[in-house]
Amino acid sequence: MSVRFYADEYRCAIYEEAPGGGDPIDPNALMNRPVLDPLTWIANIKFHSDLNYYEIVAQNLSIAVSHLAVPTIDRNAGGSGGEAGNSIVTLKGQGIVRTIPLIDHNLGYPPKFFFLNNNRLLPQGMPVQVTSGDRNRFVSAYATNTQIVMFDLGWSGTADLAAYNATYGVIVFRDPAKDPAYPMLDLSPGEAVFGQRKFKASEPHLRATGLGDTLWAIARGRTAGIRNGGFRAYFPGGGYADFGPYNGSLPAPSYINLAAGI
Amino acid sequence: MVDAIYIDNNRVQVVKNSDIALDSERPSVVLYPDDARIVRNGQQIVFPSPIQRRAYYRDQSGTSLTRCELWSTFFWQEWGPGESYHNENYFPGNPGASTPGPTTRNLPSITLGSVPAGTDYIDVRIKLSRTGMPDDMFNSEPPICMFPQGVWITSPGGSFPTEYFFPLARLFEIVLSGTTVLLNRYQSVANGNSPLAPGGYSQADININQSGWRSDGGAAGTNINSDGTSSASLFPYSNVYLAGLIDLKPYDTDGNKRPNGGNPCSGGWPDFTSTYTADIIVTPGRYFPGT
Repeated sequence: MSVRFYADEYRCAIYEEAPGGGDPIDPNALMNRPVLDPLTWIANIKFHSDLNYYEIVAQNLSIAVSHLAVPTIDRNAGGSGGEAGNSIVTLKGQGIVRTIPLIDHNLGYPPKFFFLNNNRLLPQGMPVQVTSGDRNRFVSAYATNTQIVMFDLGWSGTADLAAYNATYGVIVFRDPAKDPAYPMLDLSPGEAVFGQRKFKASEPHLRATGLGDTLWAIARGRTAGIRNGGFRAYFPGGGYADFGPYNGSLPAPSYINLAAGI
Repeated sequence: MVDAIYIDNNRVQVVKNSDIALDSERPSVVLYPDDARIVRNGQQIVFPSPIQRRAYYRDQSGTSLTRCELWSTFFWQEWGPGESYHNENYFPGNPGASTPGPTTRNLPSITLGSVPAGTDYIDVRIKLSRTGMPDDMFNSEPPICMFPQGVWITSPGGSFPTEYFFPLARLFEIVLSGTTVLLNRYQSVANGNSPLAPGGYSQADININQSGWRSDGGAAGTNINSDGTSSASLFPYSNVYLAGLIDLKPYDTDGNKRPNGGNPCSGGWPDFTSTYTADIIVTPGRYFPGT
């Protein structure tokens, strides 16, 4: 079967033609069924303006972050006071949350984004620093109208959680609405626009990888589990960390490689 | 500048700044149209209070000064989708009649909706806040939420580690199961598996004139777990983690503070239920359509 490029005033598509033949310029031809019904013919679709994409508008893959130490403290958990004024129950350590801006996007709405470490996309609550004595640091990220921000939760234990340096990445995606200011197809010199900006060459999509691409990996399954009062979390770079007395058997997720030409 | 556009040999390519901006043989990750999305506003995500027991501390100083503390305790539990109803029992004098732990309870999956056939990828966006706060653990603070609240977050793979305050861990996930999108909740309490009292102390007989801990409630009528099940046959295993302070009475001469005395520590159960209210947008898609 042939790969076809179709555009009219309503839609733009790149697709592998369906069986049945017909007139290539007739949208109702059997061969053009992927044009009119892309979800049913999703296995044939290479691009379609009725679908949405991760269109990259901002990225920084080398954001250096200096995480601050979390000091240990003793907390008198019981509070009734012994003869010396101390409870027999003491809680060691504390959790401290800090927020760290990662990238400005200024889109005016909270966009889709990916948060990376070691070229893999981080889930929420990822342990990036795991040390003995139940001293751990978990990071997440969130979107505002102007920024992507890191949520840094550090726990000390019987000793301090040390300061920690790491490098992160952020990729920000535009909301994929059609823009009527653009034509359905523009192949003018220096530009390529398909589907009223559903594709614009200067803001390419997250896509499958090929020779020469920089790869990012996205988990295709669960990245964390709990058992016996503890967690297992799979690192984005491979391997896992257990914190607390985890004794379960969460399997490693598979990853799929993605790239974008920028 | 667009460097080149190739439309030939069954392939469409757009090259921009010497890099591949679009290639029909390297298809984009695709998200289905907005009308295929699952949108749930105000979705409740409830983690029930784990089952608790009691531990009692009684101390005497000199001939008349006494004090007491009454705590709720956590024992080995696993909660999640498909967990059967099971109560751990342990009989020290007759291990053969014991029922190994953990105590288990079902937390049914929550169906968020369905997606078109052929979906092999979901984009999950969620904004949630803890609208039902659990009581303080360890008389200190409720379990800290492990992610930011009131803002939009995502999680590739669908796992959301939620709360951790040893010995308690909580997590939810939003995952694809066939063409159904499920929200699953899990909570787990560590297995102490020790005959010792809290803090590693030996069990003391505080119904008489001893000082120390009892982790079986310490008085008649207190061997009832917070869910109404009996904890008598569990004693003394799986019962060493203090959870919440129920009552305390400081050193004074005001009555007998033994668990069976005239002025004991007493009180109801802490409530460690944690409730999140979430706005959720699940957009179905495919990793690489056309391949």
